[in-house]
Amino acid sequence: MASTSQKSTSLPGRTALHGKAMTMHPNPNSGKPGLVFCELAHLGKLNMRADKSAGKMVKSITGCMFPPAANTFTSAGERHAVWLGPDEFMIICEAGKDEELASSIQASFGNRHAAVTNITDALAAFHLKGAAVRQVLAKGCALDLHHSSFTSGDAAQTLLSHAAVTIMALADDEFIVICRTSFASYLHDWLLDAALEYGVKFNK
Amino acid sequence: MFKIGKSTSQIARLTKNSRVDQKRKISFTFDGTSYSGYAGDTLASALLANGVHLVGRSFKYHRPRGILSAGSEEPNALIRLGKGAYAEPNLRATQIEIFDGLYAESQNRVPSLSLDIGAINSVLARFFPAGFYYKTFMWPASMWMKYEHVIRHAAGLGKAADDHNDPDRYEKTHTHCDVLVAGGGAAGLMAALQAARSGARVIIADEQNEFGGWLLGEANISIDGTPALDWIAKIIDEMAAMPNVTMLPRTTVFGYMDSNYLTLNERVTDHLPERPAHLPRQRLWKVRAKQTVLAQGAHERPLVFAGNDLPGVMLAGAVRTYINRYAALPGQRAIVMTNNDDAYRTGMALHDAGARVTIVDLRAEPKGALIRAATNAGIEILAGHAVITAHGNHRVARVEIAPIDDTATAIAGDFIHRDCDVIAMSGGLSPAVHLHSQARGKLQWDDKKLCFKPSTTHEASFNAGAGNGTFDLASAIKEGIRCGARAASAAGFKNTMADSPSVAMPKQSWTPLAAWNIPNGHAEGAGPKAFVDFQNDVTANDVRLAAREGYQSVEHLKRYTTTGMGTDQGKTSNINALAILADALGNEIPEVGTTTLRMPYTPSNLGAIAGRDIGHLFDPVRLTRMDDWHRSHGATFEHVGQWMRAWYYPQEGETMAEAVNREVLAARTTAGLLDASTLGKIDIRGPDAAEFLDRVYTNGWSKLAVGRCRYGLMLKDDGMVMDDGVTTRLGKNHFHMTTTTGGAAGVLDWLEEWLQTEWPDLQVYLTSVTEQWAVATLSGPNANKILQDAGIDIDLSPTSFPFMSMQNCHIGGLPARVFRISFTGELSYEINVAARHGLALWTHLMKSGAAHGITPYGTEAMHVLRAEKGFIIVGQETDGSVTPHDLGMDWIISKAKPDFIGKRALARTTMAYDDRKQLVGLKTKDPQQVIPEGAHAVRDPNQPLPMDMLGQVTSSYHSPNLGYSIAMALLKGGHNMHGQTVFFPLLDGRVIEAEVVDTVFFDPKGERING
Repeated sequence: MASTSQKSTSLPGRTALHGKAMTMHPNPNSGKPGLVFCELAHLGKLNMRADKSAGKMVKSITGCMFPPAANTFTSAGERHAVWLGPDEFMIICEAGKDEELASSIQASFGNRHAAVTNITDALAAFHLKGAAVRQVLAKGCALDLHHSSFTSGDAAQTLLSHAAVTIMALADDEFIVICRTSFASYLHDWLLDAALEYGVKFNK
Repeated sequence: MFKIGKSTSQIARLTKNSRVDQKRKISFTFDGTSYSGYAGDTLASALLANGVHLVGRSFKYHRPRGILSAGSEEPNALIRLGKGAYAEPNLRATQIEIFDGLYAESQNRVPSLSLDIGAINSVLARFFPAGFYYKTFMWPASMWMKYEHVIRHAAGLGKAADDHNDPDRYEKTHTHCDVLVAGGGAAGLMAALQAARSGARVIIADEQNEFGGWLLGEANISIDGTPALDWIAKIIDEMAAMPNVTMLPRTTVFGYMDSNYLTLNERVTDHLPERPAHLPRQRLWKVRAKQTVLAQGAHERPLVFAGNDLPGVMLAGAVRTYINRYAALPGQRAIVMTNNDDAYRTGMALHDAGARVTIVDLRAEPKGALIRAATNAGIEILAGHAVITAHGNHRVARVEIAPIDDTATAIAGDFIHRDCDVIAMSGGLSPAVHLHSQARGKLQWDDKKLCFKPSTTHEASFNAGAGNGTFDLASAIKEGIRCGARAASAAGFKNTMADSPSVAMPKQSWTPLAAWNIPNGHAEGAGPKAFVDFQNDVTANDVRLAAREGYQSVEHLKRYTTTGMGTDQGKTSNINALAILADALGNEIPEVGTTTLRMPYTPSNLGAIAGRDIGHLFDPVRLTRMDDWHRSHGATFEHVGQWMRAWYYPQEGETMAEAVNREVLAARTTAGLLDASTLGKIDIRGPDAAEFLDRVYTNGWSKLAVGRCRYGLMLKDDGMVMDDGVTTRLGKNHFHMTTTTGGAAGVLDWLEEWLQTEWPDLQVYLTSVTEQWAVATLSGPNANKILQDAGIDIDLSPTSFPFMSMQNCHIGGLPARVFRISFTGELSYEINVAARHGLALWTHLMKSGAAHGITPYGTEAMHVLRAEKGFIIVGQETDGSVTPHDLGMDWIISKAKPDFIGKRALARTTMAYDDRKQLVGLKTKDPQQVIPEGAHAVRDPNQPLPMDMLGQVTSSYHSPNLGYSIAMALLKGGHNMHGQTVFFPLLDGRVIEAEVVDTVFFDPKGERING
């Protein structure tokens, strides 16, 4: 009989893109690849259902301000709070901190009608960086991703090619893209293909 | 005066400055013959430089045809470009840029251009009048398929690629801008520059390989004191340096849809001899523009006279373009035939290039600077005359000219003969109003300029330049600036209008003489052919015949005669056809109206529309966390929605039936393990969660104890079964709902819709957790032993972990949420772990179960196992027209609840009719015969057709546990048919006989549920 005292953290945990090898298509015009991307392994993701009145509590526990407007996110270090709906947002936190954070938030609710659900494993996150990142995303996304219209701190729930995604602009040339885990392999392949003309590198 | 150059091959090449680079020679092949041209040539200009005019045969009569135009309006010079899988038909020679090794073939000829057997149709032409399809092949109707085959073979345009797998890469992209400018001529460029200087995001697209529009084909025009093309180059340089401007040459704006959404086709590498693998051949741009400026320019109209379709008969502006832009002289003995001033500039260009020129002007007394210049140059001008007939074999050789009356409708004197090798004709200009019209803009007739031009717009757009009927260059540029300014300002960018540049060119009139159909001296319907639509072989007589036969609407005329159809969509023919129809009807042109122009402006490659939505990028395939294991253990898969689920796991040498039987038996004798991760899962929280479930399920939920599970059936508001699944109470205000795999997304949307629109008072939050959990279902008498060996840290005895309950625990150290529920009727556990541990759980269970006969089973075995127990699958036993009562599941309808979705619908009288299709079990008379799913039941297999149909089989399998074939079916009045015999006549003539039985075939008392 196997030990029942074994801790879950020491057990093998697979990410969405486990098994995808490092891939490189050099920039045909020389220089850096236009897109460098990787998976943010086990990035913590909590779905929160609560209204604005939870703002103070969210700030005190996560450090992030309540997102000020629709389709925006706030940040505090590696943590982000992403607006998803009038009473729905997503807390993003460091890998491995999701359970702990979810418990503290849950405990702080008291009698408030609110919900926090750990969806860390349900969603996969990509980190995208490079001079061509906006052009690559534009090939699969109908929103206006021009740097004058979609700036850092902006988020959108949309389609990237045929996958539902949440896109977050971290900087001019840096994005986080979040999708359902089962679409991660498709998006990985799509990104490699769409960025071909600019050069692309997928890092483990 | 320019001289014909020395090159022996390019016999009609001029030595003069032009847009071709005479230092860069390029070889290409047309119809098996090698030719040379220069960088900057189109296929058309290179062929003309080689003295080649004959480039195609016409659609219906197989008449020899030559190059008519120098642009995208070309109806004749359609080419099949490339070989094998790369071949593409119906490309316009006037737009194909040549490159080394280019391979082109003419179309529509058997066996060759100069000797075409289809030309017999021309001799038989009087048997092929307008509407000949409809007249000739009406009867008998049964023969149409045969006729059509022959007609399609004889007619048709071009031949598709030899291999349907297009090896080229195509891409699509979205983009947004403040101002999109369609057309990069003088007006478009100035509009773009004006808007760009204001800071607006500007896209300017032009279908040609370089910007400049018709000025590329002009000489002797200067703007702001410099040659026009130098002035253009300065504008291009300024915009190229602006980060807010995207300049897209070789890009056709081909579609203008609602809300200023436009589609552009960019030919990225078509002009290159080698296409780099990392670049798309073509790119489809999907543009959302705040404002548009349409500056598409204008198309010159042909004149309609006998023999006007001979090779060598060209549009006057095109002749000028070939001389100035490409240094190719289309002929040395030229007739210029015109109803306006503009063609005089072609006469001058021909004259300056060394050709002998006669200008035949339909107007009795042409006046103005251009006429004086031509006269001073010593050019012969025959005013008040018309070319009555052009003659020639494969190229025009001779014309008959005669004086005509003031209205150009009757011959008024004796014939004059002239030899010639080219005719440059001009019937006036038609603005290219295509995008404006696609976008529901209105048109108005200008009875001075004799053209339709844009009036009111429907979308946020402005029209500028020749496309707006503003043909005069200085005015067009001014209009471009004004439209650019207005578009930028409407998009929110303040700007001050740039000064208009000064334009130096001879003054000319833009008022042509209305001369739509040149008289031929014969009675109506007689005489040689004068073509209106070259691509569709429609003559002036065809249009008049259609009018005589009662076709009064231009839309009907188009469909009856096919004028304006085809790849060119009548760019050169529509107005002439319309004018002749108006004349035949004795009506005015604006009263007859024009057809609506639709997308695409020019044909667009389907490859570009597909882009990278091909192969594995066409549709995402979703894989579970255990997928690696299934694959490495030889599983076969089936698609369930976008998911790939393990179907069965054949061992060496096993058939599907053998594998499924083995899996089904194992689940009832030892243990089976199923990957159930794809089931939809919804986390439900809030003080009103139980009330919410009471409203969406048919049964009661309020009294469900914490930690207990319940099966639920969800109805649409029409009372029909929509989804089912087990929902568990995790806490007082906390539930975990499961849905079918295929229904997961739809159910969540459905529930959210009710919460947000109907029951905003309910405090309930929903969160999808489908992919948060990986699920392995362990089923069979050895399940407990396996879990114990796997290290489960809870007591599994039925008293402490009863059926239909849930416990949190650890299995081999993995935190797990285990549901004791069963879709097989056996002792069964649905084990949920965090998805990252899915594969670890699976491999751990397989290892722990090895000694206990654990067998992985796929979806097929799952279907058999549940059918043995009579459990339904939503979407298999139901089709959106099945009620719980039809399924024999009245027990799940709560009588106590005040309401639930579908309750009112279930109370309708029709829902209680005895002859509704109701679910029954079937046992075949021959136990080895499995009825095909979908087979229809009848009472009497010998009943004459049409037989009375009772209903259909929804599920059917061989049951290895029972040793006979079992099935479920929806039969009319099925609940009262138990014990009766029904028959299933099959397509192959067999008839299967079966007895109607109860749906529960195996363990009807449920004695196996505790192992």
